[in-house]
Amino acid sequence: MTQQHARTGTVVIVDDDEGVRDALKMLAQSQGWEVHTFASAADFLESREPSNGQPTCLVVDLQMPSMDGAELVETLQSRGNKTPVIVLTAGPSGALARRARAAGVKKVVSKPFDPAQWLEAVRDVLHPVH
Amino acid sequence: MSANQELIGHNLERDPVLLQSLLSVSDLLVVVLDGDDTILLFNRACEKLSGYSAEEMIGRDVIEALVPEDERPGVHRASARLSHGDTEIPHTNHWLTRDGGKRLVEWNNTVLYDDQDRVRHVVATGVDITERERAREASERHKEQLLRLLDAFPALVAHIGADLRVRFANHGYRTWFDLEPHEQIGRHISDIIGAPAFDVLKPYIDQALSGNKAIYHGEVPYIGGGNRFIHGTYVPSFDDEGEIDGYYSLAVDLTEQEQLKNQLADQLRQSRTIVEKAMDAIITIDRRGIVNSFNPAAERIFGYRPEEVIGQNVAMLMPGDTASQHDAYLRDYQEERPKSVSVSGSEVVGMRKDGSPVELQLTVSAFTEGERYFVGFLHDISQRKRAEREAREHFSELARVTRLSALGEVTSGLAHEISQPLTAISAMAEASLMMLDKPRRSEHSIKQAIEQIARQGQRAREIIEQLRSFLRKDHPDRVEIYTARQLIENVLKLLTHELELAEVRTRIEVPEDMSELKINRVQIEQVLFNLIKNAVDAMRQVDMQRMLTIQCTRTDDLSCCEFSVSDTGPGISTDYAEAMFHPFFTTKTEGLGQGLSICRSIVENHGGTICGDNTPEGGAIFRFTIPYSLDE
Repeated sequence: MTQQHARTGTVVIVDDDEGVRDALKMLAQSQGWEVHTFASAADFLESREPSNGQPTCLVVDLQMPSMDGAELVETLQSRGNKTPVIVLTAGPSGALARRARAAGVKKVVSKPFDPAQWLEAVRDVLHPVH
Repeated sequence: MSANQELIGHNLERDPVLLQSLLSVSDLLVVVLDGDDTILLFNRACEKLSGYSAEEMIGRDVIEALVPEDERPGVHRASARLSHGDTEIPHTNHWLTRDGGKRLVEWNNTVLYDDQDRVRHVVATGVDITERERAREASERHKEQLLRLLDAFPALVAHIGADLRVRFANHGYRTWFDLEPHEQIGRHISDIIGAPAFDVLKPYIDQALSGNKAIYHGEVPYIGGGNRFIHGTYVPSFDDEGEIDGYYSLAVDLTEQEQLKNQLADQLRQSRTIVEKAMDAIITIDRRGIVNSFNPAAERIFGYRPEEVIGQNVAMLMPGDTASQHDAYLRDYQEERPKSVSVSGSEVVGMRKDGSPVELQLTVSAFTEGERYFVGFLHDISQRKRAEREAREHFSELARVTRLSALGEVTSGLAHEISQPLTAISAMAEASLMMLDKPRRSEHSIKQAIEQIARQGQRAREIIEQLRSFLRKDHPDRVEIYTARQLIENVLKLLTHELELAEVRTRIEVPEDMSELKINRVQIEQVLFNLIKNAVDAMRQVDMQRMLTIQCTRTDDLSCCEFSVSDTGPGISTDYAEAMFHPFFTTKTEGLGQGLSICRSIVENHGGTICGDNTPEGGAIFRFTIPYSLDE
């Protein structure tokens, strides 16, 4: 995998925590990825989904007010959306994580996490090693 | 008969005018009657006494004319005796006067006979004894009154002869010795009062009989009636020749008075003992605040000797601020409410001789004895106050331990809550480092990252700050001013992640215009923390939408702020409705079972109430009130 190749990709972050959202955005941008952020599931669903042909990774926080991450993932699944998803959660063994896994998310990352570990997870989704 | 008298007799016989003159000037009443009681001579004195003239009376029957009807039979009898040979008959009878009055006359009647021994004349000479008789009657009356008075006298009054026999005894003897006065006359005094009493009194009787007044004050073992305490006076009595013929005795029974006196003395001793042995300080002051008594308990409490305090202003027993107000307080009291004073059980601080403060409970009452005094009863409550303080400190410590325990149950959540900003910080720092490796990246982005790091650092600091303050050993008496919203937000900082983990949605309904509360912040936060934590734990048991609602309202009477914490859990079993507020009650496997018990203590210490119930939807709702004016 070349450096150039690794830089291509779009990361979409849905997290109600502004601090975490901004930090992840900056971290993703530092990798040269295109980043879109949303503060809630509803905001994301109302947006036009990116279709630039690049590999895309959706990063969703599970604990959010109104519509939580699990519901969002289930909604996407029901709409046939195949975008790979990484969920972030403080409770990896909770009901939300269970539902997310059932809806076929690629990875459940427990908060707090090492930034490098997170980057690795996103990179794996964007450019899976076959 | 002297020669002189014989001469006068001759002259009288020879000179009827001289006789008439003598009869006229004499004060003696002279009436001459014939044998049939007809008046022959009625002298001037008779005229003066009766108001009738001699002319009117001469020739009239003296009895018919002058003697009152009821006395006539007696006078007739006396007259008849004269006719039958008695030559001199004294007789006393009344004369009716012209003005309707009555005069008593003592008569001496002499009969003069003729040659055939027939009654020729009756010469009656009389003396008007009306006044004398009245005087005698008055004297009798007085004597009787005196006796009655003596009888009525609540004392023994007696006249005893030199032979020690009773001559007179008043009614008092009857009640003392159950003897009628006449039974006592002539009896020996020792017979009446009994030998033991007589032995006691003999020296005083002897002294009276030797001519000197004697007084005995003390007990006498009288016969029959037991001991009496008497005041006896014995005074010599004298006969007409001035010789001592006995003594007067006057004895007053003081038994009851003596008993009363002893009783009062006992009571006085008793109350003095009470004051002296009292646990409480008893201090009396006059209206200017000058101490005039200081009991041993006061000595113990204040460390002063009575002589150091008596005569000084009581303010010396008070710390500076109170001392300076006390005089003014007394003055105000005099002017405003002179009738009564009521300081009952108020807690005050006194000052010992060594300057140290002593906590006291003060009760004051006022009394008037000539001038106005105040008596203060002071109970040393230092120990009680210390115990109360210790109890509060223990409670505070217990509350803190349960806070620690409760926090222990949410440690992982708290750790995450803190790690959230830390995650952001480390991600930002990582990103910044990467950007620094690529100089073409604008400094602007790096600046933004660093600002974000600072913000997240602040966020982490706030959480830790709240955590620390929640765990801090709080001062039991600390009162701070907070709004209900601040309190709720503070607590949610510690429980945010707990709520997230349990996937609980939170609704907070606090009106904007809620007044501030004066509370012990940490303790009220602990109540909210416990109730919210319990709600979250309860909702974990159900697999449906979890909703926590925290509301604040004013109670209907506006006096309190009511907090309510409701959940959508399984609700409270009616079996636990009361028991759940008891210490060590728990349905959980974790924790100390102190949560609700502590909540109740905290709320009640704040003057509020707490209760638990179920919502119509089946969840639990806990409500507690906090009065707005805790210290009013």
